[in-house]
This record gives sequence, C-alpha cells and structure tokens, in this order.
Amino acid sequence: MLKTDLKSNFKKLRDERRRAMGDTIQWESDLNKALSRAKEEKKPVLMDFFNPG
Amino acid sequence: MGAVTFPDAKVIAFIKQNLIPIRLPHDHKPLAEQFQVKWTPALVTLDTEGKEHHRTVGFLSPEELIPSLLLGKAKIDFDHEDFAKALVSLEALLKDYPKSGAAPEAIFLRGVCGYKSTHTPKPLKEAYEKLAAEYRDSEWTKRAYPYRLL
Repeated sequence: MLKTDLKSNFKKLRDERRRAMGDTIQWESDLNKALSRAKEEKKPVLMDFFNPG
Repeated sequence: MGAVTFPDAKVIAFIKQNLIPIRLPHDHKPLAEQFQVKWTPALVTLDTEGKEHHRTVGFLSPEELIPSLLLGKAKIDFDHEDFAKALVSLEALLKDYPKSGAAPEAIFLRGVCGYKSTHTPKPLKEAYEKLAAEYRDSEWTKRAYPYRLL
C-alpha cells in the first residue's frame, strides 16, 4: 500500500512539474530522422538509451 | 533521468537549443548492439553523420548533464578540428559549471585546443596549473602532469 502511494505521489509530482513548465523534451525515436534533422539544424544528436523498466 | 533531470526547465531549454534528442529502449535492435549499450542510462553524443564523440553511463543531475552535453559538443568540434568553436562550448562550461564533473576534462581540452590553435605550449602549461590548483585529485590533472615542464 505504502509503495503504491509513494509511486502514485511521485508520478503526480512529476506530472505537476511538467505541467508547471509547460514543456517537455520532444524525443525522436528514429535515428535516420534525427540525423536528417541534425544536418538541417546543424546540431549534434543526443541519443538516450533507457530502461523503460 | 526521466523523473528528475529531463523534466528540468534548464535541461529542456538547453537540449531544445543545442541538440536533436532521440530516445531508445536499452534493447533496441539494432542500435543498442551497434552502440554497445551495456547499462543505462547511456547518453551518447553523435555528430551529424552519426559518429559517436562522447558518452556517459549512469544518472546525471541537471547540474551535471548540461556541462556533460557542452563537453560532448566541444569534443565534436575538437574532433572536426574546429578549435575556436570547441573553445566556445568549453568556456561556457567552465564559466557556468566550474564545479561539475566535466570541468577538469574541459580544462584539459581547452589547453589542447589552445595549443592546436596557437602552436605554443603556454595553454597546455596553464591547463596543468589550473588543474593542479583546483582539481588536484582529478585524473585529468594526472594526464596533464607532463605539461608542467613546458
């Protein structure tokens, strides 16, 4: 029960924080598209490998 | 990272302005294998051709992520021999995040960029002196140790 509450509160806090900022990172999911944008916008690519858990 | 660092307003603004972000699961086929991802979070900085220049593994707070990304940008410019552009990122890193984990490597790289730009050893010696004075236990101080003799 406590674990569920903590998880729920954490998610709530995170979502509130995002809403307060009114913004999030717009992640690409396709490397070719990211590289195409990188060339067009003359920016490096940041690739984040994550564990969705 | 997803709960603390990436929702941070400064991180969002920095990434928007400076990078094209892409997010992939740790078992993505074929990229996780191609980039030899063994642990997460793994953050890899690529140039526009898809070549890797910088990587970190493990959690980074917002105060550590931004300087690490600046270092990644600088390494791309350094590897492409655009030393003036690399110096812009390094100076920004050292001005705004002097206490970050990326700072000692940035000082080292700034010294090398200075040497490559001027062909004089002074920037290397200055890099060692700053590292020795402010980051005595850093591995980058050890790597710069020979420059004390210049």
